[in-house]
Amino acid sequence: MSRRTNPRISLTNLTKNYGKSRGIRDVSFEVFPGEVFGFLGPNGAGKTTTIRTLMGLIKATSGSASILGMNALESSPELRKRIGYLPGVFATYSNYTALQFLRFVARMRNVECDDLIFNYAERLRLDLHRHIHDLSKGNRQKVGVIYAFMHKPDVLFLDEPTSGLDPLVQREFERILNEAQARGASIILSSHVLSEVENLADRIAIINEGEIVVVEHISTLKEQAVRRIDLYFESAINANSFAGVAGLTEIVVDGEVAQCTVTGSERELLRAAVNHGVMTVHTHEPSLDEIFLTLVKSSHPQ
Amino acid sequence: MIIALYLKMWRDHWRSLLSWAGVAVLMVSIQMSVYPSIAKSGKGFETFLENYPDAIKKIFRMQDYTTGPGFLSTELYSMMIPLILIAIGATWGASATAEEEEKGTADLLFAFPISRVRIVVTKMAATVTVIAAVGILAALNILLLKSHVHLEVDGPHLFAATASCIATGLFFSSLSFLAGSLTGHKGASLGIATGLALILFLIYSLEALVDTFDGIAPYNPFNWALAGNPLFDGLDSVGLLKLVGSSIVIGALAVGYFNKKDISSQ
Repeated sequence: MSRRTNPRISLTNLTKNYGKSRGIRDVSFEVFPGEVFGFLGPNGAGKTTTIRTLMGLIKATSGSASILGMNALESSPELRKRIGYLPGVFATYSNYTALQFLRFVARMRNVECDDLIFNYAERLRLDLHRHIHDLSKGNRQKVGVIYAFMHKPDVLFLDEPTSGLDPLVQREFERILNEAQARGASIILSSHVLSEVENLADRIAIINEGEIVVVEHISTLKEQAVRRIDLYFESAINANSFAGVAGLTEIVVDGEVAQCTVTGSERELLRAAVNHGVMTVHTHEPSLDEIFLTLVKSSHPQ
Repeated sequence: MIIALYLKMWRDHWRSLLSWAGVAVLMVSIQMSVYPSIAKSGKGFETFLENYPDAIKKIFRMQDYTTGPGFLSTELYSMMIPLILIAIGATWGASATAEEEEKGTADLLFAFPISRVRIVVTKMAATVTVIAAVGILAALNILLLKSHVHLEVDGPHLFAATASCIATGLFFSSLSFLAGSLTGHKGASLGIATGLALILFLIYSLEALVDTFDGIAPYNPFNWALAGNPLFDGLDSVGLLKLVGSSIVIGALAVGYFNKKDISSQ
């Protein structure tokens, strides 16, 4: 990923107002060449609205967005030529076979890509000759994946792309995604489950109720997360022995066991624990989903 | 125009198109087969028609009913053929954008590297050609059968009447495009276009009986299409111009609105 280069995708205070119902407000982030960017939020948080605004399907109320140096809000055909898009609900022309549909897409895009269509279909185990109305949800999603990747786009918007895919196919999808990333494509991968993008994205944005909660590296989020550490001592311990330890936000002592809550580095706590003769340390790694839920809840406390 | 999309429209509708074309051909053939007996009754039939109220005779263009133009006008060109072409045009118009929005396929279609205007105009072009094709098919069927049933009709007059019917279909299909663009619902679009067609046709038909409808006549597309009696008098260029011109204006409004709107998704 070319960090510190010009961003491929740049949103500044992008706002879509739907009147009384919620849209998105002041959404800002950047995505760089060769980056997979996780875009997360609960259902209805504004992920699809953001992506559809970038695709020019809905018109922004205010703010700006640039993709590949072009004004995304004008949504020119020249720009869309270089974008691959997989909608959140992949509705398609069900009276076509998968192959007929994908060839129609190729003609509409004015590209010749039969080889790639057959290659992806084989890897995703999709029978191209079946009618789309006879395909299962997962198989339709495979058609959607090919539809998004078949013209080797420079930018990809994938809205819940793995929905309906079985784990084996998901792995193949990840390989296809990595190939696109390797040739420099910038990819926005939206999901409502953080663990789904954990292995694919370096950075994520979390959106809730139409507003960005955080844009951060996953590793940084993990480091900053609140963790629980259980310390087991030889004999009963006094909680006051740990007063003033950096990072320690809470300690509950029960005889020889101390349950600690730590934010950031746990180094100081462990040093103090060793000085007091700790026997065993049990760390509870926070799951990413816990981090996600904590951030989402803290953004709009009920 | 986008050839792949143009052909797709024909492909998507080929079953209903075949049905409508079949209905048009069958209807023309059945009516034509009746003509020899009408012509043979000659004076007797005309005396029988004289007892009809003038208004009814006017509504169904029953003047000169036993002549070729009179017969075709009454039986086919004053109602049946225009209504078939309106039905085809309104159906294609309603499916053009509204059905795509309803089914969620609009997200695919308008994500292609093609402007919304070109996409909608291509769909309009496909609609115009299908309306024209069915209208011309009916006229060719008449030309094919006329010598067999000894029906005399002037070829250019027949095509003038066909042009009026095609333009009427075009007018209501553009209304259907506009309603589809505004509402995003196929049913509403189809309902608005066909409902208006039926109401305006009813008003046109009853003009001879209801004086208050006289004020509407100059603005009624059925008057523009039919009042000039193209089967008798040839091309009514003013009426045709009004139909085509207003269709272009309505079509442009449909494209203009659709180009600016938020496309709805599933």
